[in-house]
Amino acid sequence: MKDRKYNRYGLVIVVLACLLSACDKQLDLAPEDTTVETEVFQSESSAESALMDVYNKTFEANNATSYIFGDFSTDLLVSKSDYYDLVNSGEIPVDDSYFVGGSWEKSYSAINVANVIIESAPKLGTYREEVISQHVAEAKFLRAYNYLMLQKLFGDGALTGKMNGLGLPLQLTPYEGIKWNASNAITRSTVQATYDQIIKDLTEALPDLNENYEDDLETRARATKGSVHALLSRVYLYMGNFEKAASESAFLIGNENYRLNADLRSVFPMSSGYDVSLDAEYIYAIPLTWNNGDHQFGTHYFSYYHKYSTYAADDFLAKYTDTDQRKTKLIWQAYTKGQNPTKLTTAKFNNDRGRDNIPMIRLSEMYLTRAEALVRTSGVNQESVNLLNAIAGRADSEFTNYTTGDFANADALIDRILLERELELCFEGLHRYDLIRTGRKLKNKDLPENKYVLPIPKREIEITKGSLVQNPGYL
Amino acid sequence: MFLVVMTMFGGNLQAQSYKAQELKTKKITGTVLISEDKSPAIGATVIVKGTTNGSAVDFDGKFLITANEGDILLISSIGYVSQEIKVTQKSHYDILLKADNVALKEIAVIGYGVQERRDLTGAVTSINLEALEQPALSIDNALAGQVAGVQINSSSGAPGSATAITIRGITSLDGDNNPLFIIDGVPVYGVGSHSSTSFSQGSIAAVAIGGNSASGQIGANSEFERNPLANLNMDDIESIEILKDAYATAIYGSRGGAGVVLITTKRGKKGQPKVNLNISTLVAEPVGVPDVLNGDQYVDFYNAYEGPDKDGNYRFNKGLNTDWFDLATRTAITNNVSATVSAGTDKSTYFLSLSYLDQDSYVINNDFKRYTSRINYEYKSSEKFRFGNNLTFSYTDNNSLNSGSVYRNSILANPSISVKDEDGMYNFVENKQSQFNPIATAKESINYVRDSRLIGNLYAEYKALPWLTLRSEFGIDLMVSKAYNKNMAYEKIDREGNANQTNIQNMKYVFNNTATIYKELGEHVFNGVIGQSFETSDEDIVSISGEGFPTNDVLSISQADKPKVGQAVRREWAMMSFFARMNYRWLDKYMAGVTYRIDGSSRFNKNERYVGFPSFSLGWRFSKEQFMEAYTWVTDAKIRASLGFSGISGSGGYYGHQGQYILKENASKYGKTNILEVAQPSNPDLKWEKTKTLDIGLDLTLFGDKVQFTFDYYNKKSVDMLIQSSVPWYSGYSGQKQNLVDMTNKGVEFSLNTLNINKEFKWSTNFNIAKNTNEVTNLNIDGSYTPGGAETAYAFYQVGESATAWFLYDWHGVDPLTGNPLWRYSDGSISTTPPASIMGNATTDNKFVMGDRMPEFTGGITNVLSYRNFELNTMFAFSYGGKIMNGTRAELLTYSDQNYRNLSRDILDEWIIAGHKTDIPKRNNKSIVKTGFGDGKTDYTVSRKSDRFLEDGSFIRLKNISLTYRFNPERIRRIGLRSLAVYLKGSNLLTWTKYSGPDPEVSAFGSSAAYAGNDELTIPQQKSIQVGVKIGL
Repeated sequence: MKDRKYNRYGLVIVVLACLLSACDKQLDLAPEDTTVETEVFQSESSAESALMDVYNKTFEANNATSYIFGDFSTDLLVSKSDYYDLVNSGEIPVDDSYFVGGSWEKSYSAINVANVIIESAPKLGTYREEVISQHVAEAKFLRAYNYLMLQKLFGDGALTGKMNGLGLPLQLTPYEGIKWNASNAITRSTVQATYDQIIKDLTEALPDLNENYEDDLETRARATKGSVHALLSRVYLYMGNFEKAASESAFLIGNENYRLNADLRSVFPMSSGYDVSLDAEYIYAIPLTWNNGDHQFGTHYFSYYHKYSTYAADDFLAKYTDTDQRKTKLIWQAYTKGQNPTKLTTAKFNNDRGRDNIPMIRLSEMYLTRAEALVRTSGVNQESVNLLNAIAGRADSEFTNYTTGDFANADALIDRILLERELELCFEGLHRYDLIRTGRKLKNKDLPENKYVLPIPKREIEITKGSLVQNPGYL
Repeated sequence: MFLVVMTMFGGNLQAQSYKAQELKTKKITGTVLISEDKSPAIGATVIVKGTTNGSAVDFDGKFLITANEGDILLISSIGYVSQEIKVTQKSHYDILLKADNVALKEIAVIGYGVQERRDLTGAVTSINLEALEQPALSIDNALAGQVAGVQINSSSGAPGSATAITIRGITSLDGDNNPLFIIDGVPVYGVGSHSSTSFSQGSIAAVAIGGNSASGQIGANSEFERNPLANLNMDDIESIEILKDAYATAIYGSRGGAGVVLITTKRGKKGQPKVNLNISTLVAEPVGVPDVLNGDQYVDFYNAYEGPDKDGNYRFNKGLNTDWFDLATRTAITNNVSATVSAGTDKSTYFLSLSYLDQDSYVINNDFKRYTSRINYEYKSSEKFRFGNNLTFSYTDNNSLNSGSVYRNSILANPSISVKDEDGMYNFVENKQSQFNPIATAKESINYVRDSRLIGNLYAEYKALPWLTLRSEFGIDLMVSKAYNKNMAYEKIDREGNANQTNIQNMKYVFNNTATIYKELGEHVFNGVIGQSFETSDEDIVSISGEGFPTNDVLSISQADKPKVGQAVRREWAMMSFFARMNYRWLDKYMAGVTYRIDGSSRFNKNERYVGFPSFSLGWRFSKEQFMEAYTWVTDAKIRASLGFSGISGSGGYYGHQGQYILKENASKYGKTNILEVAQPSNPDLKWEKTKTLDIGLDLTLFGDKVQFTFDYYNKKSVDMLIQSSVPWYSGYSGQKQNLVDMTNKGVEFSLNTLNINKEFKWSTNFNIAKNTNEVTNLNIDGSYTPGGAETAYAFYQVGESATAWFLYDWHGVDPLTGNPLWRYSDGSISTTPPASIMGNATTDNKFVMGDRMPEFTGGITNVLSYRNFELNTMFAFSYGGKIMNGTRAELLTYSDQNYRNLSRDILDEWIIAGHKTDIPKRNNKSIVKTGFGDGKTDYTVSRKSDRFLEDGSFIRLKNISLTYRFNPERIRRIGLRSLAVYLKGSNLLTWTKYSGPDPEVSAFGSSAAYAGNDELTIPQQKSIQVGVKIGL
């Protein structure tokens, strides 16, 4: 009887022990409708899909105001928007959440997912090594692109050579859900250190990237050796390092993957809104029309077609000759109803539902960057004139080529190149920064130089308890 | 005492031992009757003491036994005081058994065991439902006003909807604040967020582009939240215990933070089958209805407000006065039938029940039906081994999901149009946002949720040693549910039919193993339990929807033009726990207890997965001390104190700690590749929300049993509560749920039971009152937080204030000179500019603390008066100090947003002329402000973010009054009945309140007390009269 009792005890203990040993495993449950991080990097295709989130977030950070700010804050456009006027006045509140907060938040959101790829793909990735390296390189390209965007918007003196100015807080590791404490806050690196990080990412990315992809759309929409060189060229141009700007842009000129198209309408075709291919002139562009979206989701939110908030300035349009394709083909009336029915606007973004591909870096920029950089390093020279002629002549069949003798000095040639840059790259989100880096005035002629940047969002300064320092123009 | 504990624990088994039978010579007959009503004590046993010679009392109360003179007869029956009678020369004995109230009352069910009530060192309140003659139709109503510190608030008048049960204030800002419900050892949870059925059915949320909108507007579009207890038949319940302090709840570890409600169902009793029937009918109508304009008043108002169009025509025409509300409602009738059978032998007992409830909503064509059945069975295979089950199966068919929206729309509908046009087609009330006809919705739309639910357990118990009992229990909660909603197509307004359907299959099981110890060593008494529990839940949800059906009669979504799968997902969680408790008593005076539970949950990351919840308690029965001997009127007096931890685990979501990716839904590709988007970052530090409670209590029993007094002071500190907290944007996110919030609830509870008169006329009173104050002591880094928009009732938290405080702009009345609303700013200035309209202000600027959502005091008073066969029972519940946002009135004063609602009659008192003192501003006033682009205006006068509509929600309500007549047992025995009672009962008949809305007991946003205090045209509760009969066979 007694033995039996202890047997039963034993049985209970055995049952308990079994349950105990199995218990921790029972508690490892994973969701079935979502994918957890470890699974994402198990296959090439899911990792690639995660990488596409970085591209997409880069698009989201660079659409709408962040992009057209480069143009509406200049004399290219007439502003019909109270909000744009506020932005241009330099009085934008430090707690503005739409543009100031939005562009900051979205760019860092893209940077964070890039950080995840850069850190997790090598650590957790179980697919081909070379593809892992390529994914990391692409993420580095995108991280650099976003930091450059932030640098242009927030880096104090970043475009005027103030290398010890306040740059950006450099967040280079993924967010790990730590309990936030202001003492962990990072500070703003200098403008120089920020540029250094951008250059470091791009330089590291270079060896692991392809020259092109099997699919031509991807060659233009994803990072390549070409897009890295092109972005480096832009970075050096902004830094005032013209020697390197010239050498980096040289990679693109004459490269078999990129060609100028004689017909500018083919570069900016009338967009059906769906699956519009990218011309060989694009080095990096957002293939927005391929995103499976509609008028509600996945548009660029530019108002060029409807002209609600801006239209092209007459003074600017007068700079074109009447035979210039960029005027005859790329300027039109678009929407003939609404508030400004007779005004003119760009046809670079011509879809009425905001569904056009978005140029980020185009070959003509590289021509003009190299042309300018060469003049700045070695004065008036034949190659610069040739590059200028190539761009101007492509657009205007009546154009007569310049010769070096047409320019009395380097400044005259530079001015002509900068004018061509304005005519060629207008409405592509770049003009503002060209004006600032060359010491020219923005639309608001009275804007003090320390307000050429946006304020750091008030929220960030509060959360970090002042670890992030406000730009001097907003103190 | 051990015997009592064990028999209660096991379910009315008697430990008897049998020896070899001896020869007896004398035949003895007798009757055993219940002293109270002289009914036969069926199933009572008569034993010759010290032998196995015994006999059971038959149906007529008679017994026959053989014994010797001088033997002692032991007559016993569960629930009655046993008697011993010495056999004399007499051969016939009439015995009356007295109810053993003490034995029944003094046992309290606690987590994983039972304890003598007088030895409790935690705060536990028991409600013996069996004592109630005519239980309420739902358990929430049965509890209302009964227990100090337990606040019951119906969230709406829709049958089957959830009720807020809040124990000692709110415990979590994020999760739900309802206690953990345990039915016979099986934890039961409500189902709310997965149900696709919505109160706002038929109306489509609008995006305001241009046009006017009202600021801080709330639509009652919360999802239907089901009541987890709606499946229970009240006649099945034996007792309910409410565990309030940490010593009582810590044994439930991570889920005990908001309190625990233990529900114990009835067991079979030894004896002949006893059948009880309970049949009742109830008529009901709403407790109150807002007054709205009639058709002509409506037309006058809006035509004057809008003016003629450019052709000189007005929008509305006079002549029709449709009373939509009258057409949409009826006198609701509810029928309830329940039958129970209880019987047993020495070896086995069973309790069976069947019930049927057919409850109408007072909204036409909306009803709720419930069918339940139960088998509680126990078999004792030997002295040491027994096993059994408690199983209930229920089916509920809730067709009243549309009642909320029909009620709402019937009040808002334009009264100047008719229900149907000349051709007999429905007319639709059209406005900027929607087109609706509440009568068409009530009569033609389909909206139901049907749940089949099996809840129960199987158990085996083995008494290994005299002091050790081992028990294994397997509990299950299986629910299969189908929700279906179809809105019909109407050509007249060019609306396509649409339908959605949600199927849920939830399977939860819990496996408990416990070892119970009871050992007396002289003056030392040990009572403990050690155990282990594994619980897992598997929830399967599929929801589909479709638009465009060939005809209105086609219901299958496969036939829809655009069928769509909304959700198809299975979710799981699991929890592994170990727990132990030891209660110790010395000299019957000093008590100490300790409990410990470790919970491990799948919801948390490995490094935060396991957490322990300890608790400690002390008790001192000072009535046993010498210095108390002089005070003979003190029957029993005890001071107790406890300190412990418990937690809240559900609020972190299912897989909250893991970084997750989902396929992007819209604009889903980059180039030609699908985008896998980050859904949430990993949160490895996510951990349990915890509460730490200190409780000091005093239990007094005075004058025999006549006065019972309980007092509790508590300080409940909630720590590490989850909140969406900001992180710097440069980290890649704007915020994440983190364990940051600390909050305290402090309060006192007081309850008094007195037996005032105990003669032929009996009068007893139960009075209880509780006060609770809440303070947020630590919040996220911002120091203030708004958890969301309208769906969280614009809740706003700030350090140093109550978590349920109202933070509002100060409406300073209407300027009698100009008719413009005035606003008070924080610098004391008064302005006609609404502070909310100033751009760039922080959300906290110019807001003030304006009272609290939760009341300061709550309580109830119950009086039971009985005289001969009559019994009168009255129960008043009261609540003092809570403020209600009367969104109903706000909604009915909103005319500026082109939705052409019907309006409250209060609008007739609008400001007209200088010097007119009124609280209704002139129609076009300075608080209706142009905002944004275009001509859009925002109406700040009707904002729920101001205190204009904040009202005192204090009330006293006659919750229940009932009159019962019990027939004399002798008289009805002749017609073959054991007992017969008829009763008449009224619920919510009288309310005293200053609140101007229909019902001060309202919660527009479901059962979480964190969002309490809102009335948004929420369908009010019923007031009802019930007639019933209870028959015992």
